[in-house]
Amino acid sequence: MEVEGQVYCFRCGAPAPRGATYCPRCGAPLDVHYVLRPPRPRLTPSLGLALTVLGAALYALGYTLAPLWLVPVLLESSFYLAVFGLGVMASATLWRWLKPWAIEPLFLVGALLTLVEHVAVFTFHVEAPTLLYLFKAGIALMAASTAAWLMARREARLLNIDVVKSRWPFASSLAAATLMSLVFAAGAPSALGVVEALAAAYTVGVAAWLLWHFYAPSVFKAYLGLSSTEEAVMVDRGLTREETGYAFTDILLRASTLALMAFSILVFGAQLFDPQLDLSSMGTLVLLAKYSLAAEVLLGVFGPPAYWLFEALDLRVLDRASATLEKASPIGFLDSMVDLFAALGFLLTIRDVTLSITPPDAAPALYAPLAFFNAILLLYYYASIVLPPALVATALYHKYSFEKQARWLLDEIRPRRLEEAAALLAEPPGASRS
Amino acid sequence: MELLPAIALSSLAVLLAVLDRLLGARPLAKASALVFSLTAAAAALHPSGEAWLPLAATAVILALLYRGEEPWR
Repeated sequence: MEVEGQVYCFRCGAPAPRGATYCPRCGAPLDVHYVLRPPRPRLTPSLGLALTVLGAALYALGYTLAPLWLVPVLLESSFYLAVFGLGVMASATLWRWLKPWAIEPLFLVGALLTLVEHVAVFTFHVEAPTLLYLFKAGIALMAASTAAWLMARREARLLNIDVVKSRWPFASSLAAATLMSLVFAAGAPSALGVVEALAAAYTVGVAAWLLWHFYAPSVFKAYLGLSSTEEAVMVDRGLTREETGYAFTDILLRASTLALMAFSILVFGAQLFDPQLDLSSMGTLVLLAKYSLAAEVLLGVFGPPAYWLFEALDLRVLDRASATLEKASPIGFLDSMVDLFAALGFLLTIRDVTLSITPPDAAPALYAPLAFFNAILLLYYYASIVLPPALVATALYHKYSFEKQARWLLDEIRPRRLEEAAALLAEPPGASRS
Repeated sequence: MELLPAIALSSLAVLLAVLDRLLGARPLAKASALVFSLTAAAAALHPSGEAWLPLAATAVILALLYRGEEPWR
């Protein structure tokens, strides 16, 4: 559907009047290139159906046509894909009904499936190999819910639809933390052991949050570190609901950053000290988990919360000595590299785990791909120890600290408006400030 | 961490928080948060099941005390 006199940004899809020079949302130059049609929704039930059918087709292929070495890989990946497709299909239907908030609870359903499998196997000692599929379905559903929710939010933004995107983010985060902790605790010898595992997750979470609640703004100011010739500049009009609001998926992804940060630092450090470290042994994993929990408490305050504050305030630093305006960031030019490095680190970790659980005499083509899927299960098990405290801390921080700290920092720093900064830069050097 | 040091350290954290409330001295609150967080980190490194129970109770008390506060000011 074309609207007369209206064009759409080629980059972010926002509507703009014909003849506009810049996109009103993302600032892309529209005099160079624009599109005439509004962006098409991508999260549709047919996408989910296509993924499910593809999964089923791969499964059939795995049984009939595939060469022997490919069979286990196809069977394994097709199952994940099919359940992921079903999850996307359900999410897309909910999105069609304009209920994107109902997508997030699918994550909890996935976590519940993994818990049911673990309780059946480790608490009640049910011996049914097919139960493992319940666990895998849970993981695929959790991934589908997260991906679909992010797509729905993107589309709501593109199409300018203002709907409730998340309900009960705090309660959902605590529920996810509890369910995942229970997955880890399912093997505990007694009911008291289960309570202790839950107590540990919540204690570590609250301890990390307390440090953020007390110290994150100081860390932010230390990172900002304005010199005498520098001033903070704010590019937009202040904190919007979009920047300070949060959803369960936001909390989940941010908590994962914290857990990944702790994990990456430790694996890196451990491999420096002991290059022969065997990541596949349960002993090493438990050791890493213990150190990760301590790192979440002690190092967390220097990482994620200050970084989230930088993201929300979106400040620039004006250096009058060199007449430059640069994005304020805790790690300067590395800012854009962080996500890339986190993803690379995670992939390398999976590769390490995969290689370490592949027997040295196994034919790599036959065994390594399957070990990759086992590594996913192993990492989920590890996540069930490290992610719950991170979820508790992040949820508490977003409910009680984040917005207040961001507003307080704005009051403290008093950043200049962009127009004022431009006027300052236009002043001849040495002229006194008004 | 054994049960006794866990109880001692979490009591110290609660005591500091209560003193902060009574005297209105912010450094005491900051000290309380530090003591509790260091204790929790130590308990994560040397876990023993029963030590988590007093620590969790302390976590609930401190969270209730400081959730509405702006202690960074």
